[in-house]
Amino acid sequence: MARTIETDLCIIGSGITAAMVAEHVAEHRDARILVLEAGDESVPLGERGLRRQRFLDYGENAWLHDHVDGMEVAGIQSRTMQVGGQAMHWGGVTPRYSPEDFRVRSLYGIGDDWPVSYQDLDPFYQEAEERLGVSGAQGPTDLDPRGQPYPLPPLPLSWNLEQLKTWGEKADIPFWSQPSAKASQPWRGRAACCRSDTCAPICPVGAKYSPDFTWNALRQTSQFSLIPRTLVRRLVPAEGSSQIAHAVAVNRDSPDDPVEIRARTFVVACGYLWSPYLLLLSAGGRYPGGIANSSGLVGKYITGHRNVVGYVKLPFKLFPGMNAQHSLVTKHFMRPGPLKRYLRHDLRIWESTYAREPRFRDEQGRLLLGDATMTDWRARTTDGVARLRGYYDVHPAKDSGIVLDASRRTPWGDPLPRLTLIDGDASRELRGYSEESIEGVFRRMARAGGGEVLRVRQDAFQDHPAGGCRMGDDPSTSVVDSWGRTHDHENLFVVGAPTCVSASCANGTLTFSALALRAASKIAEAFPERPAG
Amino acid sequence: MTGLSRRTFVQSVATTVPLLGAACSSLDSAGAAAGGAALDRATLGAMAESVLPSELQPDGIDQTVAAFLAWLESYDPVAEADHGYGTGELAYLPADPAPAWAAQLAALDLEARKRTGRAFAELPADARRDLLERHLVREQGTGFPVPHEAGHVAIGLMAWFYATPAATDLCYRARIGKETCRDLGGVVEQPQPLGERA
Repeated sequence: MARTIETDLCIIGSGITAAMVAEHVAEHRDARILVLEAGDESVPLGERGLRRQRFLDYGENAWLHDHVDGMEVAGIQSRTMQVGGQAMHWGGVTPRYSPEDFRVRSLYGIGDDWPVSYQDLDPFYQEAEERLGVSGAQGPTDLDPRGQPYPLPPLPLSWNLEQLKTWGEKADIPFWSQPSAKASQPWRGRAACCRSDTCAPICPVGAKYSPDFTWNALRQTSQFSLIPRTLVRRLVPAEGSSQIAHAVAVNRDSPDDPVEIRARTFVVACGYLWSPYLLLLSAGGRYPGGIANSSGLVGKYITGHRNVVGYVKLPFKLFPGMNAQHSLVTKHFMRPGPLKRYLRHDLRIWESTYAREPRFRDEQGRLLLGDATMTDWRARTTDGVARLRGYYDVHPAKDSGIVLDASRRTPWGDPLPRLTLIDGDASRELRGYSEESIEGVFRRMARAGGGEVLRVRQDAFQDHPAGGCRMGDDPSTSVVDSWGRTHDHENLFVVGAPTCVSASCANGTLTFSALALRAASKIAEAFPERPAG
Repeated sequence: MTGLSRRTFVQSVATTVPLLGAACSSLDSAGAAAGGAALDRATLGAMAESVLPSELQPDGIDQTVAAFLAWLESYDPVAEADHGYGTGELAYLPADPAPAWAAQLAALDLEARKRTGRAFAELPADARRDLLERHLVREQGTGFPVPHEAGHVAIGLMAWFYATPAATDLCYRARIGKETCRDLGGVVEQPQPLGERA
């Protein structure tokens, strides 16, 4: 017999967007909030110094038990499934998308417009930056529009980055400090950044935002609970109604005793892959194609951005390791104005040790032992290397996304998802041009500032995937509205990455968080305001 | 030492040891500490003199060898490896390298005795180096592997040393302090040069 839990707001998933929704609603409304997480508790802050050291010393996973055995997906980019989700070991980089991202169809005839504008999202970007404790520098206002200042001063540019900024700007490209959810000074119980150089995968002092800070605070309140090791397998609609009546979950410690969760509102906050997966997995009865899937678009239009990486030999020396994960950024190419051929990309610069690492054998095959190793290393580090990277956006084909693969099953017998990313026609045709153009930017910078492009490469995967439950005003061409509410079920929301129409050409986590907070403002309306005081 | 305070280096390496000690205590409680074969300290020390930079001086080389052994002792075979972006695969660390490395040191010493009648540690520096080079001739590649994946203990020791913040500081002759927790205040300045000879 199923164990039943009753609550007001049930949030499925405990990553960063779940944290945003829970915190916002808890602050403003009188509602019992229950968060369900399939994975285990994450490593507590007090143990992260030790875990970090073992990561550095041996390459061990800094986040013990951060996955669920058997939840394997062909094509997925991360196995992470734990309290806090992928935002436990993210890099903490928090650029906003640019206004063009929300209007690419209108401006450039590619992809699809969003049902929200940058201006609509600006206050929620700001709220997310406050909650995450973003340290940022205001870029040139024409490139970096924002309604309010960053909540925290920028992370200072290291001496290395100052040299790189001077070098990069010789190509008439403005660069500034990459905004990051790493506290440049103590912020809401978090320590200031200690430039540990291991932001990803693990910050040893908690300067980088991770959802456990939110969860730990909420767990001090009586209205909130979070249950780990509990995997939601189905959303079940009410008889004679389109409302979701309850969720069915399995607790991994007692898999033979299902858990039934009844709530007034359900929020699916499981990321770009597991969110549409749950909706598809809930197919049955009146909804043979899955919950919230009258459009047939659940699991479709998943996309990310590709990158082009360049290593450039510089005409001056650097001292790599001063704050290795911090970078310069520009939105110069994200806001290009009218284009003859579509290309938008971000551009970042880091210090690098590429081709400057110590070695035990030289090009002639001679062994380098004793003093020879250090002599060789010193001779090769009299000048520095910059790492450049541009993300460019990929507009997906409709069928880019997930399907249920009945040939592969979870430990609980459910089909596993199969993820296949497919470029839309326009993006496929633009790929070569995009990559050659970005490489051309690298060469232009090397010419302008002095230097030589040593190597250019592209990663095989798409970063920061989004989509799968895309938002829109038309229920026939979208899964959720601009607030994340599913068109088909009034009390069911999807938040964050899966609701995106496209994935821009910059890290997506801040945008996912802002979208979740915008959804939270609507979700909260179902509950009474908190009594004054 | 050239451009380096030996005291600075020794302190830098020494800071690594307590961290490893802390890691040890955690592993012990989990019962997962590596129980590999012991490396012969004398042979390892003699080898270290041949493969590490002489500017470390004997004190620095001793400290490096001690920290390397502490690192090896805390190795946890087949621990789950970091899984980052771009893959859905879970990976695990390889087997404990200590038995093979111990055997290699024993082989070095045995060959030295057979060729010269003296222990490897008792050979003159040139002879030690010649013998060592013969043992390393099959090591592939140019760059260092991660230390625990080194095929030969000499490469493992060098890989371990050259990955330390102290080695980077020594190379650049500057107090960069990579991967060490530092406040943000000093980040805007060019790293200070290492001190002169102690």
